[in-house]
Amino acid sequence: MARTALIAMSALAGTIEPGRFGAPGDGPPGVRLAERTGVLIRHIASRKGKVPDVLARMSSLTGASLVDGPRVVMGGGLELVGSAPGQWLALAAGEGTDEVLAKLTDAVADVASLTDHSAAKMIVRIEGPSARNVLAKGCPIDLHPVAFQPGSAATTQIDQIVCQLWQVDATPAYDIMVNRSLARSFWSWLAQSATEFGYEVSDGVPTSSR
Amino acid sequence: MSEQGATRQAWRRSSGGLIDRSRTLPFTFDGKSYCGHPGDTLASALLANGVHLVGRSFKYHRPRGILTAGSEEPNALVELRDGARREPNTRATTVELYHGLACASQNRWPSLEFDVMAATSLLAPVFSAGFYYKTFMWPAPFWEKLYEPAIRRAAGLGRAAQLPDPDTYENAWAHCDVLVVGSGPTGLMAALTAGRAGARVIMAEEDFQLGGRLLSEPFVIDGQPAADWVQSTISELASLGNVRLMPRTTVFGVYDHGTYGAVERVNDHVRSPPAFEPRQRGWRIVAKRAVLAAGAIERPIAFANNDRPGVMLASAVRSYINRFGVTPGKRAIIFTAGDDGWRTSQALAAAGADVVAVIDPRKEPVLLLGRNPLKLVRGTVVTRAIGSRCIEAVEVRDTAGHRATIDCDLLAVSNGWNPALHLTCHLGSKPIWNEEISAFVPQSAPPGMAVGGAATGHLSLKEAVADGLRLGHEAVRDAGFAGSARADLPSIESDEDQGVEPVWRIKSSRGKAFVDFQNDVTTSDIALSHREGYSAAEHLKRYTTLGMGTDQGKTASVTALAIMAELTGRAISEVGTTVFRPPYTPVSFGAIAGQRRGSAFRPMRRTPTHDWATAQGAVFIEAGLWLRAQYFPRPGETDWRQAVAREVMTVRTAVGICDVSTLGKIDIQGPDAGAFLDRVYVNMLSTLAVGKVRYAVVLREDGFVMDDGTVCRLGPEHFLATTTTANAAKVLAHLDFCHQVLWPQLDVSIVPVTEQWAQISIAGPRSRDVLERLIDADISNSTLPYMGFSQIEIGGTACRLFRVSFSGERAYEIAVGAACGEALMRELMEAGGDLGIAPYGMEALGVMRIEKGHASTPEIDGRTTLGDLGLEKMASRKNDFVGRVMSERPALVEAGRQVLVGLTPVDGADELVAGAHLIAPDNPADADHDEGHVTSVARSPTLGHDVALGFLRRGLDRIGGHIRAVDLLGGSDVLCKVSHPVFVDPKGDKLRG
Repeated sequence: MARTALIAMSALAGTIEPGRFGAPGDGPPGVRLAERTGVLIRHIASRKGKVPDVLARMSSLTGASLVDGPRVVMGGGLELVGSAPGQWLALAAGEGTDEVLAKLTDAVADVASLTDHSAAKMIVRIEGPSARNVLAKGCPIDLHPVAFQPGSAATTQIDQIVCQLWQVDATPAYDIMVNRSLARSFWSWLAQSATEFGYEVSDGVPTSSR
Repeated sequence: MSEQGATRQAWRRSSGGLIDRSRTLPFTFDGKSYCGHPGDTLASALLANGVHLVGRSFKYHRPRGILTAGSEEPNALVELRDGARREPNTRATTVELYHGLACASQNRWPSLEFDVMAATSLLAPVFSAGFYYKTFMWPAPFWEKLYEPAIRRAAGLGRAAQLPDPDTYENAWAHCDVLVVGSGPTGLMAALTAGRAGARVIMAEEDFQLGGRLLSEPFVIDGQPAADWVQSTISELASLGNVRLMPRTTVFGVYDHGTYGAVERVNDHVRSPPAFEPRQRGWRIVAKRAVLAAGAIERPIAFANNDRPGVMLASAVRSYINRFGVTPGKRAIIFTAGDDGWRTSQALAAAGADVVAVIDPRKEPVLLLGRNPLKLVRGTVVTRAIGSRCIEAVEVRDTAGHRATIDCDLLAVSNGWNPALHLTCHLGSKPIWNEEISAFVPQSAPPGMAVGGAATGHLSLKEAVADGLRLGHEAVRDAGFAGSARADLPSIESDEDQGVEPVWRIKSSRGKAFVDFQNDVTTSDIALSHREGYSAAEHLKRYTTLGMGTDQGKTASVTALAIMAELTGRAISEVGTTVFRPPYTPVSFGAIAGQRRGSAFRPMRRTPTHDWATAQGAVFIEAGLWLRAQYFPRPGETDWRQAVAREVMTVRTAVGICDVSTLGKIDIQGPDAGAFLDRVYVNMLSTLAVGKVRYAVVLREDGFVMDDGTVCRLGPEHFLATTTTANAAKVLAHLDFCHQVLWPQLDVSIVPVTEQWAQISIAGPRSRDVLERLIDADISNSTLPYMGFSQIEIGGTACRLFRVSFSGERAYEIAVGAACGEALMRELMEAGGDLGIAPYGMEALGVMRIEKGHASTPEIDGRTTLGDLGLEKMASRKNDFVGRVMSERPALVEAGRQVLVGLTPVDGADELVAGAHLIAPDNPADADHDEGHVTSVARSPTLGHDVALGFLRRGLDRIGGHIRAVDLLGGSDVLCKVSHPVFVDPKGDKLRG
């Protein structure tokens, strides 16, 4: 018998440490970076012709109006990120995630395929006045407020790494989700790109700010 | 540095210009100390110190000075900085002076003043166009060893740094409604109009100061000096939140869909970049609309010795006087074929220079500046510059042939302007000849781009400003922007005459008349090119090298075409022009590569157990983007083969573990999942029982094998397919294509899940013993037989357990969420500690699959069929699948095909080589007798000799016979026995046990 439970490890374990890095300054850093840990993720793929059903059921489950497009909506303990036509990533974190995900399964299991992506992804929160300037060093899409706002999402690539990116708030704060195997490559790009502005790495994103 | 001597700038004006005289910047040129001021370029600072001789030319090592005041400079190329930051061929006219700048002249030995190689001028008749190819033709072997190295030593400009660049570079993206290229009157007006309307505007300017020609001309705009108008306009633009001003930024290329390449010289103007900052940024700017306001480039005239230091373009003379507060000469002559050149006399006079004469070849030049007490000589040309290292006099000739010599130390030359239309050509448009201004103008522009001001041939200030206003409005409107605030046309009193009757070359002159200064191409080289049949524009360029180099012929090409037109008796419009490609000016590799240097060249994928393997001392190997453990050396092992042999024997006799997470994993769900799989795999998978795994093969549409793997049925409507590491993306794309394009009616979803799972192979006779220590559930052979699947828990964590084997031993693969991969590895190691468990890597994996005859990438190479691999019995006869029809083509099923066999050396001491060709024992080793080749070779620790897989013609009929494995490259010829490809446990008792 295994004596202990298998401990989950962050893909960035040993790579990042909390603190302030890059260009020093008296004021606040240009950006704050943190890995969002403890997030459970389900990939939802709508079955043939069932997009309207998925939208209706997810909307009634979450109270948020889900759309089939590059948007992120929140509700019912879920964060739903449009990732492809008829496909979303459902994120759940904090208390009661098992219950939230069980409800999700009940709601859409007959109209969508669900797959566990909890360990497949690494999510980084980047926020602060220089966030857009940092992302501009690798992200080809336009993040200016006229083109991208809180609630906007995109499947794109940053420095050759495919990612999901969505805007959390107008700070601005963005969440970027990359494949786990590429987490360190992504982080090294991010750290180098942020160094000019000075950046602060914190332990994690508090649940309350999700 | 002698500050006393260094601070004296004898040629600096006491006032005027956009330089900060309150601060002094020391710098060195060829080790000598000088001083300049903030606002100077290296060129203006050298001129302020009376330095006219700046370099030696490419081929003839002729003394060269400063011709221009911009990025078109062909002559004043220096080595900037030293050590790892040394940059050859840097244009002194674009280098912003900084404190402590150090630079050196190029292409001279032993010194700039006295250059030995200048003697090549005496051999000039030998060094004509195409001379390399003609002169050094014979004997041919001498070219590579003798001629070329000698030529390269003698020619070649500058020396590369030879050391790794210590600075960092970046790429970045920007987006806007309107991109304005250039910040002269047109650009400023366009940016102001678009900016006031609220559009997102980017204004890029290659210079470090915004303003373009307005910085160099004494124009009056809205009743104030142009430089003041520039300042107030820039202030307003900077105050608008929607306008981004990008000085020191060259837009160098136009690409599809409104994407523009630009390079920002973030820290070229300092000695070394401040900490945390890049040296340069390569930008990709995505713009809905663009306004090209790049201005125009003045043309020189080809007369004898027109390359002498002290011969300068007239507009550059005005720049040095008005913008930089430098008087480049005390006794000046102006040689102009157009009205524009005349304005230089006013600037020179105002700067206190003695303007000796204005030489204008036109019979009836428009005299704008009649007040000036000038000696005007009409219908006359300069035939020759006199002087060695600097101009001392010019020889002039009138229409009657009378010659005279006039002393001078500066000759300002003007021959009309070439619009800087380069960017308009980048997507294929060809310029057309405009007779009115005697220059090529844009015929059309890339989609989304409009051209205004001098760049489109509208050379006067009034036209430029009006163009800017109009194009700014149009760009905002066309970008779909609704803003409506407008800018007014500023009042401009001057209305410069722009008449020009260019003279391209002054004939019958003694001495070389240069057309392309940088490549040392003269008027006689063009004549030679014509005589030898290379008179087309593109041929002329290739034959003479005219238009190549850092300046890409910006001051040369049109002159050369005009001369060729003269020689061929055609109009310039008939000769046509070469077009321009990106980049507009040289761009460093750093700015293009950005952050992608060294190990960041491409992203690296790490396995879930990467850190664990590192701690075990693993040696890693790149497999595509993946970094995988190759083997795990132990103390005392002197050779990687020892480690690999030990790892193989560990698996064959005890138990080994290996991270196989890199294999592709695809989740397939839906009521039609089984039917879908039947169509893409060769074998029937809809009949697979839940909880079972089956080996499966995918064909390409052309009938060849694409990939192999396994398919497991997790539930009635739920399958998991695996692929090889190399083909994971290809198979996923193939499945998506089949679903989305071929059979969208099937209700199935296809989701890649490779990243979700850490998958650990546990192989060897003791593998089950290890697992039973970790798993509560019954995993005995009867409950979980070979090719079975079970959902299990380890330490409360859900895992998937597959009974599959690549090694041929009793083996399992356990999949757990990737985050728990390392923890699982540790649990397995601990549980099997007393059973001799050890990790094994890619090499051992490869050895064991060869011992078992499993085909892998070397065998599934895109040219092999199911039959070639011995897998034809897998193909379903009941249903159709992708590739079936094409796989039945006669050539793919003929009896004589080369098929997979095993090979062992008859003499066990012999070593085999992958890639060796298979030749029958009695046949000669040549292509006619080639009957196949060796694909994979391993030294089998199990058998104690080499084993190999290969493809042999009619191989199955030759089992038990002999064949030679011949490697002519390595010089080996090994007699082998042909066998079935499975060397170890051919009946499979071990893996089923």
